[in-house]
Amino acid sequence: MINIVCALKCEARPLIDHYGLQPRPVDNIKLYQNTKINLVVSGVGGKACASAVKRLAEFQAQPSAWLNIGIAGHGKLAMGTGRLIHKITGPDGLNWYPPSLVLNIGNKLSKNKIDSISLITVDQPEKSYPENCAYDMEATYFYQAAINHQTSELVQCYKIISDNNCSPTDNINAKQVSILIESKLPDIYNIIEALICLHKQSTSKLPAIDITDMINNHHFSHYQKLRLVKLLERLSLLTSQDKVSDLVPKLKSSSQVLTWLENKIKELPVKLT
Amino acid sequence: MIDTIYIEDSVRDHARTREICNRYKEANIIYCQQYTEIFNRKAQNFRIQKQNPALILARKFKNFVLEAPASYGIGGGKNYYFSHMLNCLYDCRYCFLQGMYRSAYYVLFVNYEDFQDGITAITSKPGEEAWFFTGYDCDSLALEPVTGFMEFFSPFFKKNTGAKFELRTKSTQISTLLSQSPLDNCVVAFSLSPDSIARALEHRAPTLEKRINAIRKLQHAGWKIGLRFDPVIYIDGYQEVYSDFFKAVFSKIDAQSLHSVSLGTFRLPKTYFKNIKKIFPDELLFAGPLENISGMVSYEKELETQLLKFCESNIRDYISDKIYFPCT
Repeated sequence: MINIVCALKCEARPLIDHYGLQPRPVDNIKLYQNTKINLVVSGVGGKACASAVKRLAEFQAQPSAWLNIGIAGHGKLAMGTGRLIHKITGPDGLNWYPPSLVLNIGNKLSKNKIDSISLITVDQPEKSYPENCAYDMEATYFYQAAINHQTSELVQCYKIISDNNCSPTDNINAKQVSILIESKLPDIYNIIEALICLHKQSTSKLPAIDITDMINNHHFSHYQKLRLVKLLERLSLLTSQDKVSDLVPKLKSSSQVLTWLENKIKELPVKLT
Repeated sequence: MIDTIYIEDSVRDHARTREICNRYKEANIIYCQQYTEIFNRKAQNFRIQKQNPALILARKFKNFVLEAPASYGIGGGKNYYFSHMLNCLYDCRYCFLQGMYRSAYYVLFVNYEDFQDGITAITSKPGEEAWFFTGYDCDSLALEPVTGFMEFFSPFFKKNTGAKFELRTKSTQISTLLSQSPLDNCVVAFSLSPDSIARALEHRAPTLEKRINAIRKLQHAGWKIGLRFDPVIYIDGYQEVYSDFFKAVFSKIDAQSLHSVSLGTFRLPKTYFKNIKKIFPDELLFAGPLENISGMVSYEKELETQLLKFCESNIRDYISDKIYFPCT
């Protein structure tokens, strides 16, 4: 699953159409989704963006990968240029470094490498582009908010240049923005796939241990429950079986269950593969 | 191999920085104020980063040479270590670095000269013999073509005959060593494990056969060699696995000319163990018969004693007691 955050509806529109995202009524956020994408339209500015990230994260049971897609200005790059962001400087001057690992994951991306640049987040639109980097109004706030819910490798920003020294911000209109985003759908597809792939790899491979039946049958103290889960996880790993609780015979007490598990694990061969 | 290089502002114009950037012309260069902005930040996933670590070029400002932990040592007087680099090219599942650092990126401190000054400050004081270990926070040789570490330090070691040095490695990057005369005060210490264990746990490291070939070449050239059977890993049938392993190793190298052999079982500080287990919850090594005693996770005492005794008695068939150093 991936969470995409756009500031403007016109930035989100091509993605909503392309991925067939359906609006979902959730309090205080404009959410669109399908089976693998949640897209939220946050509104312009840092506070709105951070708040949208927070609300979307709270709404989810499992943490997802995060991607901020939007327009940015740059003094030198041509309009329509797409770039991942490898360094974000906030209005407070602090720096953030989204790991660029995502650039190199998967055959598609290594064939169609997406370049990355630095970006400065400003609170007011930047019209003179003093540094050789992109300027936006959300990335810092997005990144800071998202890494509270996910590891930084899975939090990325992709920006499409919408204004530069030849074409100032005043020229931007909603239709143009949608066209710019639409033109970069192949890159966006690659980034989404790479992030989803990384997200799968980062997730624990241990099966979830269900102890409901066991704690219904016997009284386990808090400490015993923790011990029970640990022993069942270990047994699952050593036996390569998911439903290890089924292996435990009917016993009289919780301490007998724990002892049985400890002895069972001791009997198993110690191996590395 | 390296496609992203972060460069600390303080070493932007350092000659070693320029050399490395020239080597990786295609790499994405990102400047930062301090390496810790990247290396120490929260919300990092060591496991994901290990797939394709970036290189961080930085300057170390203090603590160039540190006293080695009490268990470190191969019979010398005072033991010190220094780390020109943090993190390792290899991905050994038992390695404490995975639990110690938040990031898997390689940090290279390019101001080698300051490490040398730190060593000189210690060796210039009259007193007992001092050993300096490298390869504590990284493999000493694995990134030699990039770092030029030995190329730079060899003349220094050669000049400072009063000091002893150990390079700890699993690497076969030995061409810098073979291109020069062996140094009398330098030991090249190879970490070795049985082939089946190395394949299961020492990801991306050279095979046992390749390491033994490197040892043979270095011995032939006159370099002093140390063997580090550390960590020894408990598995079912370890007796056969380890006796075959020792037999194979000692039949292929010159045991008589070995400088030292050390032996230790798998052990990790509890906090590192917990961190590593979180990153690799599906690793069978961590589901083994381990226990926590006084903040150190290691094999259950009885098993550990059996394992150590067995390996020790095997090793002593091939070497003299004088060069044997158990790790505790």
